[in-house]
Amino acid sequence: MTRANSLQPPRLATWLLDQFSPVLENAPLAGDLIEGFKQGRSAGWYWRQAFWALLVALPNLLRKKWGCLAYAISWSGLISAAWISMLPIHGRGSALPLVFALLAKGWGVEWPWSMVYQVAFVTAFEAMIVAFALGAYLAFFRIWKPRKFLQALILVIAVLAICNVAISGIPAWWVVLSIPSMVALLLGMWMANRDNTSRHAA
Amino acid sequence: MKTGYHLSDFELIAMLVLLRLGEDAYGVPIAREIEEQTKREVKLGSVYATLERLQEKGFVVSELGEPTPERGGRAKRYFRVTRQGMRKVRETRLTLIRLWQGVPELKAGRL
Repeated sequence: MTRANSLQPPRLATWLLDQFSPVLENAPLAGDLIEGFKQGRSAGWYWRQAFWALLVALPNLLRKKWGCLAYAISWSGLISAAWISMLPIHGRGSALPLVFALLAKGWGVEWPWSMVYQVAFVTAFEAMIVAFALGAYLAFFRIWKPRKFLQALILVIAVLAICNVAISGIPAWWVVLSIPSMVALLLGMWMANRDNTSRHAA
Repeated sequence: MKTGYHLSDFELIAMLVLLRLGEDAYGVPIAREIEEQTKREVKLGSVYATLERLQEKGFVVSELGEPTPERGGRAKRYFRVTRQGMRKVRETRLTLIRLWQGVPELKAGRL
C-alpha cells in the first residue's frame, strides 16, 4: 500500500540527514528513507533509521576528518593552557595579569550580572582564539571567504556561550573549558566547509 | 589453499541479495529483501556501511541513478556484484558446504 504523497516524513530527521549527507556521502540513503516512508513505514521507523545512519557513519566520518579533530583538540588544549596560566591557582601568580584583572572585575558585580559578565568574558576570550584558529584553517585550505567566516563565527560564539552557561555551575569549571572551544571549532570548520563538501559530493 | 578476506554473514547476505535483485538493487529493495529473508528489521545505514566496505574490497560497484520527486529529489544508488565479488561468493559457498558436511549432527533431517 502506498502512502499519499502529501504525507511527509519527520522534518527534523530529514534535515539532520541532509546536513550530514555531504560529509557522510549518503544522499541516496535519505532518498531511500523517504521512499520507504511513503510506502507505509512509520515515523518511528524513519527516526530509528536516520539515527542509526548517523551513528554508523560516525567512525567513517572521524576516519575521514581525523585532521580536523586533531586540529580542534590542539587548539582547545592551547586555550585550556592559556586559562590555567592566567588564573592564580594554588598561590601561583597569573601569567596574564591584565586579562585576569578584567575577568576578576566581574566578581565585584551583583548576581546575576556577575554570571553574565563572566560568561560573556570567557566566551569573548575563547571566541578570539577560536576565530584565529578558524581563520588559519580557512586560509590554509584556500577556502577563505569573509561571509563564510562570519557565518561560522556566529555559530562558534553561540556554541561557546551555550556551553559556557552550561558549565558555569561546575566546580573547577576551567578544567572543562577545552570542551566548548573544541566543539565550537569543529562546528565552525564544518559550517565553513559545508558548501565545498556539497559540491564535491554532487 | 586460498587465503584473504572472509565475508561476514551480513556481507554474504547482502551480496546474495544483490545477485537476486539484479538491475533493481538499490537501498529500498535491498533492505526489503534482507528483511523478508531474515525476518528482522534492517537498518539502511548498516546496509550502506556493508556495501561500501564491499565496494572498497572490489566485490561490489555502485552508480547513481536519476533524482526522482518521490524521493524528495534524491537519486538512487544502484549496486552490482563484480566478477571478483562473484568469485568470493562461490568461494564462501564452497567453504560453508565443506564445513556443513563435516558436522554429522547437521546432516539432512537432523537438527
